[in-house]
Parts: sequence; C-alpha cells; structure tokens
Amino acid sequence: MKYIEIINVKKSFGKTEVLKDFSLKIDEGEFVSLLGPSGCGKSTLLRCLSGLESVDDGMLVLDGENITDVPAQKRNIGMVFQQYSLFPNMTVEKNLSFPMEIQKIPKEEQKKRIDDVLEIVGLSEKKKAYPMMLSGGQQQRVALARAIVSQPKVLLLDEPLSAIDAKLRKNLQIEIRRIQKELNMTTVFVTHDQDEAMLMSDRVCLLNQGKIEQVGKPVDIYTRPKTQFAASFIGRYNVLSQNEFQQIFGKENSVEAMTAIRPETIHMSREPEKSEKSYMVQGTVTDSISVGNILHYDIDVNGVNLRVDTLFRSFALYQNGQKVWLSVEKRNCLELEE
Amino acid sequence: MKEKNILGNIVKILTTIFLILPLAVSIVYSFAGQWTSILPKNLTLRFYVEQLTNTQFLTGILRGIVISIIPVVLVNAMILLTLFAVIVYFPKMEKYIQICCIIPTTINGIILATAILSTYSGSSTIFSNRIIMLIFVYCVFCLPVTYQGIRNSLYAVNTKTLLEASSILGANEFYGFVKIIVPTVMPNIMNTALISFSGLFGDFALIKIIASSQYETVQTYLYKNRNTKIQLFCAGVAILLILTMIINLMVHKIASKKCGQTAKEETEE
Repeated sequence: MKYIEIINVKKSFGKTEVLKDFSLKIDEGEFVSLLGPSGCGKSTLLRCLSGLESVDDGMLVLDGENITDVPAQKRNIGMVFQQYSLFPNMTVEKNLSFPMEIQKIPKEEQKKRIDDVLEIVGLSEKKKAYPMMLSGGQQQRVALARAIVSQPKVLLLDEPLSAIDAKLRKNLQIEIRRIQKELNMTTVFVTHDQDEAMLMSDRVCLLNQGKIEQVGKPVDIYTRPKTQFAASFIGRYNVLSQNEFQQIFGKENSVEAMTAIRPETIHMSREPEKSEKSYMVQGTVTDSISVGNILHYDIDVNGVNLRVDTLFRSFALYQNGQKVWLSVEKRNCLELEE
Repeated sequence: MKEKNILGNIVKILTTIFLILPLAVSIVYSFAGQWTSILPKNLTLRFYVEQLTNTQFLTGILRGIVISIIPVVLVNAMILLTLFAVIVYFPKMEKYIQICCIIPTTINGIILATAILSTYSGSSTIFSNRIIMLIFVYCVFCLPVTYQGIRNSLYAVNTKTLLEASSILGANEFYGFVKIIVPTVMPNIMNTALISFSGLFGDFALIKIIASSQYETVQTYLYKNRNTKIQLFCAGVAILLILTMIINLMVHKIASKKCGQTAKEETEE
C-alpha cells in the first residue's frame, strides 16, 4: 500500500467537472508535483487532499487511513498557500505556535520545535517580527515553517512561489527541496511552471482537464512525452502532424500519429551532414531570439515552421534569411499517442 | 500653476474659517464673564466650573455615552457574527444581507423614529419600553455604516483564506475567527464604531421624539437649557467637544496599538 492513495476521485463545481475519475499513488517521502495549465484541476485536487473541498466520489487514503470524510482540522496535513496566509495579528513565533497550541503540545516542546524549524528556514532572528515586517521571501519561509512545525504527515504546497521574484524564487525552490529531503516529508506541490516542477520533483504528474496526462520522473516526461498536450506543455517541442512531417522531410512517418521533436535535438549547420540515422533538410532562418546562453531559431522548411535551439556560440550564428541545413536523428522523432 | 495653488489655499482657508468660526466664537464666549461691548469685559472659568459641578449635566454625559455605546456594541457584534456566517457558510446570502443593511440609509431618521413609536408605543411587548425602543432605533441608525465598515475590513484581510489556513492547522472556523480575524480587523471595527458612536452621541432629535421625558442625555439637556445662560451653554458645548476629542484619541491609540505599530516599534528597539 502506498502512503497516499487518490482513488477514482471526482469533483464538480456546478456543471463543470473539474476532476474526472482521478487516481494517483504517492510513496512516503516522495516529492510529487502536480503540473498543468490554469483550470486543469491541480489546485482543486490539492484542496480535496487537504480537506478544504469535499470530493463528490472516490476515496482518499493517507497512511492506510481513509480520510475522505475527515475534516481538514483533523487530517494532520501541512499546507502552504499562494498568498502565504500568515496571521497578521501574530508574531512569527505565535504563528508557529498556533497549530501546537491546538494540539496541546507542552510549552517547552513548542519552544524547541519553533527554534529548530526557524533554524531550518534560516529565520531564527525574526522570531518576534510581525508578518508585515518581513519580505515576500521571508513570509514564504515562515509559512513553510508553520506548515512543518506540527510535523504533519504530508506537506501540500499550492503555487507557493508564484508571487516571488525570479531570483528569490530560484533560491527558494532549492531551499524547499533541501528542507523536504532533510525531513523526508511527503510533499505534493502544485505549479504551472514546468521548470519549477522539473527542478524540484521526484515525480511530475501532468494534468489536463481534470485527468492525468502523464506521470513520471521529470527527465522521462521531458524526453518521452506521450501525448500532444504533454509535448506542447513541456518545453518547446515541435509537434508535427503527419502532413507537416511529410512536407518537411519528404517522407511519411510510419504511423498516422503526431510527431514530436525537441528543438535542441535538431542540429543546424551551413553544410549538409548526411547520415543514415538522420533526416536532413534545408531551411531558411526566419527569426532568432537569444535567451541567456540559448539561441531560439525559427526555421522555415518547405512552408512549415521548425523551432531549433542551439547554444550561443559566436562561430555558429545565423542571420535571418540565411539558408541552413537541419539534421535530426530518426530516434528523436517521437510518435505521440492519439 | 502658482495661481491655482493660491486660489486653492484661499478656498481651504475660507472653508476652515467657515467651519471653525462658530465653534471658536462659542469657546471664546464660554470664557467671557460679561460681554456688553465689542470685546468681553473679563474672562472667567466660572461657567466651566458650574457645568462640571452640575449633576444633571454630568449624568447627561454618562447617559449619552451609555445610550450610544450599547447600540454600537450590539450592532457590531451582530454584524460580525452575521458576516462570519455569510463568508464561511452562506456566501450566496451576502447580497441579501447587504440590501437589508443598506435600507436604513434610504429612510429619514425622523420618519423612522415616528414610525417605530407609533408601531410599538401601545404594544405590550418589551419594545414598548422607550429606552429599549431608543436602543433599537439607534441600532438601525448605525447599521449601514457598521455593515459597510466591517464587510470591507473582512474582505480586505482575505478572511476566507486565513480561516482555511487556520483550519488546516487544526482550528475550527469559529476559533480561527475569534483568534485571527477579529483581532486583525479590530482597528477598523473600532474606527467604524467611533463614527457610529459620534453620530449617536451628538443626536438629540431621535432621543427627543422617542424618550425625552424618560431619558435625558447631555444633548437634550443642553437643548432644553439653550436660552437660560448663553455662556453656560457654550461651556457645555466646549466640554463636549473636548470629551469627544479625548474619546477619539483614545480609540485611535488603541486601534493603532492593535495594528501592531507599537509592536513594530518594540521589536525595532
């Protein structure tokens, strides 16, 4: 039996079905990200797990106990919200002692746990501060500390980094992962940012319209997307119909499915480099954007646009309108499920 | 641009003079011993002493405070609990509650008081008691301001999310409401209550219609004695002004303390 089991869960708001027969199993100590676009049901699933929303059908099991009808207060789950939701009338210390007061944990033990957890999040000196006196990043760390101080069975994170600037966000991503590993706490993380999910998770669960599109390790999801949605959502995949594939490479793909090609697997050169293992075509550069050390090219090949990513190298720069040769290994042309 | 500034300043000064002049004249008058020519003959504190030793005046102040505080506390408690229920359990009811609370703004106070008086004065219910009738009329009177103030405060602090956070941490909704939401919105509640209190404390029309014979507040006392000795009347007005200012300052002090400003200063120290 797995630590968390979400079994055939259904949830609707009015006539809108948000979760459709959703099932997922999570191991103890695992960090699972629920990834998907807005409205795909990831936050609803998290709220159902926390007990803030009831499920219409299905079952939720935590550590062998059926928690489907257990109220939120009694589930022993920690949660960090997008807006932090720190209690503005309480100091950091009081915020942290709040759940332990309810659990009637002795004062001495409370004090020890608060000190320990504040040290973990690096905010020992902010014990007496009020939330309004802290920066966004500090507030987020306090929210995390409050969620873990009562030693919950599961930690739920609902887009906790979406309101934080890019640089701090990167640091907090690493910090949250470090704390999760340190405490070996089972964590379910909701995000719409695929980079964030890839960086932090043991497993990524990609959701679309209330259903699981694909579950797997980040690298598997990235290198082997199974569906057109997965390929479109993860990275900048070129997703080609059979006609487009034929238009570009002049050959029919073996099956009638869509084909996905990762932009960085397409090799660009000034001269053709023939190989039996690769498709080789000529195209024209229509646009290029530099993002840090990566160059994103748009190449027109027989009227179809292909996205190609290369490392920024001064000796291999191409201008708009320039003719280039593209080669892509056949094994990198991934067939997608219908 | 400069001309506009000058014009603006002139308007501001004239408005200030227009508003302050009657008050300033009353205060100056309250110090005047005899005033038969352009300037008063002598200045005295005699009228202040006389008012402050007048039991009718002091009892009136106390009665005014009591009759103003009770409805304010009642309405605040009622609206807080109603809005808690609406936000947590019945969000769809909010528009109906809003309509009910805003209706009194459309009814003239005198008409309201007269209507209530004719409805309940002959009945054998508890509402036929003039003091109780007055309290409930005052409740209706301060309902719109209180509702709007508390509602805005509750939405500004994101009550639903804070209650959800407290639920996850193990607290039930009511415990979370009392421990987190009420202390958080308390400064705003106090400010709204102060507006309602000031309105009720300064009232003499409603009280005169409903309970003047049974319950004399300082306002009705002053109104009754407005023609006896004008300096005495002015001294009474000045004392009330000072009292209102003290109450205002106290409420603001408490409200800002609750806001955590003092706590911030303490922490910085």
